[in-house]
Amino acid sequence: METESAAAAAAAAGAPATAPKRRFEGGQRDACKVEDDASTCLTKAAKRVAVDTSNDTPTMTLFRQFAATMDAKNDRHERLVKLSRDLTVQSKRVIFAAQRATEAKQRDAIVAQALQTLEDIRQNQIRPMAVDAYSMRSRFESRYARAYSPGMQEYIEAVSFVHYLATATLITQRQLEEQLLFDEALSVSIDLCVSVRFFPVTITDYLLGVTDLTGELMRFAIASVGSGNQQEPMLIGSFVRTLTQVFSLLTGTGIRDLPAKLRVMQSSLEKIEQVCYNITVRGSEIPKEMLAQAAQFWSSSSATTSGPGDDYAGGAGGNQNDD
Amino acid sequence: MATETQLVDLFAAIQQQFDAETSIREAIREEVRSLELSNRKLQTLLSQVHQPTADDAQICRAAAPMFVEVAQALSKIAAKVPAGQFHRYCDHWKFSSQQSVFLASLVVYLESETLITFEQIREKLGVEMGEGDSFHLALEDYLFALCNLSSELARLAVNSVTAGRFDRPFRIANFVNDLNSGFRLLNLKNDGLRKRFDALKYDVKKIEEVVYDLSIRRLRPDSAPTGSSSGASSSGASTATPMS
Repeated sequence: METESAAAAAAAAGAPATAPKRRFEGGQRDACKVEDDASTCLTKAAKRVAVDTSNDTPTMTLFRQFAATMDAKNDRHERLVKLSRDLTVQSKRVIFAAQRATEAKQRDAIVAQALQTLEDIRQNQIRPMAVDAYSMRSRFESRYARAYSPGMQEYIEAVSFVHYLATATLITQRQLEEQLLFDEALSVSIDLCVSVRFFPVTITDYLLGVTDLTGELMRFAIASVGSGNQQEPMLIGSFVRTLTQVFSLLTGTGIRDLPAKLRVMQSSLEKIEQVCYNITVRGSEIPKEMLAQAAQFWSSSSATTSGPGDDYAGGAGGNQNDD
Repeated sequence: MATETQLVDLFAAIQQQFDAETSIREAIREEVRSLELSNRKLQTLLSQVHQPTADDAQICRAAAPMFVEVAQALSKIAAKVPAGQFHRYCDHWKFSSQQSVFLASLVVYLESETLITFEQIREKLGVEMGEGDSFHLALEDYLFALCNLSSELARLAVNSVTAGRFDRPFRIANFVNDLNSGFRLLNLKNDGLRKRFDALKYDVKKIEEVVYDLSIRRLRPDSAPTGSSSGASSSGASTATPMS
């Protein structure tokens, strides 16, 4: 809101005098691959439009400095929130693509494609976040972690899902962080080159991302039966069961969303178990060509899963609507 | 199954992290309690300025050693925070450290009727103003403290009149009006500070009512400053003139 009014002020004042400077700054930001939004430039322009400061008391002069500091911080925060939202959308796309890997012969190709997309996401979405998360003094600033946490959780869900399809194991926090080493020097400003070496994955984002993973695995298990793969639900079932067990060992985490996510996780597990049961009990009776229909019927009776896409508009909130 | 033992090990390591964090939090809470205690002692002392017989200079002198105590409590908290994890834990002491800054700003006002500077905060509390991941006081803490200061000065304006110090409310009005115009230059987000700032106008109004009451009864001393600040003449109190 403030940015808009500042932009309006700049437009009203007709800021041609500041335009060349603005263009210069735009180029500079492009150089370091930070997507600079016009509003940020306009805020800066608005500030440069001559304000009558002749009647300022010393206190007001001081507060003008505060305003500049706070605006810069808010702009940075907003940029990160925006990047986080993009990261969420991109990660969901990877998840949907990977959900189609139910047939064994397509699987390797789809997983390889997903791994490539994830690498692109790291370069195009997370790298600019890393730039903004580091201060000019090249120190990582954890205060901004809240701004991009929703996007990171979705990203972790996507990476861990593809990782599971590739290796049948859970990706570790350390492995995630190793993928997020942006080791080349990033030019943050004209006179200062900052080497962003390390973008931390918080334990909170990791755990919440992994709980969401179980929802995706549940969908994948059900879809696998549809593709005639009766082995997959069993494997996923024992993997998710182990996951719920180790999650239940955690105490005193202080993560606000975790208990709710663990309940969703438990219900996902029960849905997978129901599918496994049905395969075992009735699988022998059903001809293979009819399994697809049967699987859909089982999953709709035991689990009201809608297909992928139900939470596409879920935005920053993550998958609360997994069941 | 190999994966199973791996997962158990992985989550055991995660649990260790949480356990470590819990013990850090407990240690910090312990130190915050002692900061709160020091703050409260200081506040009790400073609340004496509202007494009709108060000797401000003497109260400020008595406050000096108590700030040492506050500074010690703050440095003990700082020592408990692991390097680079300031923002993970700062919610524990934020409220208390804002209170400390407020108390320091009140003493500075009583001493010199000026706005506390970052330099003076460092002298009194031993903590740097700043940002980043090392132990610091944030700009927001400072601004919250100034909002609290305005409320306290509004109360002081009322009590100064009772104590017969008719010149003081005029100076407080100038000071708080100046502060208010400063706050209006900030592009505040819709957060806690915004809400606190929204309440600032009631303090301004309260002070202006005192100024108004004194003015219409010709109790304004000659030495009192005239309302030079732009906001001073335009608020609710002065428009409700019952004189006509």
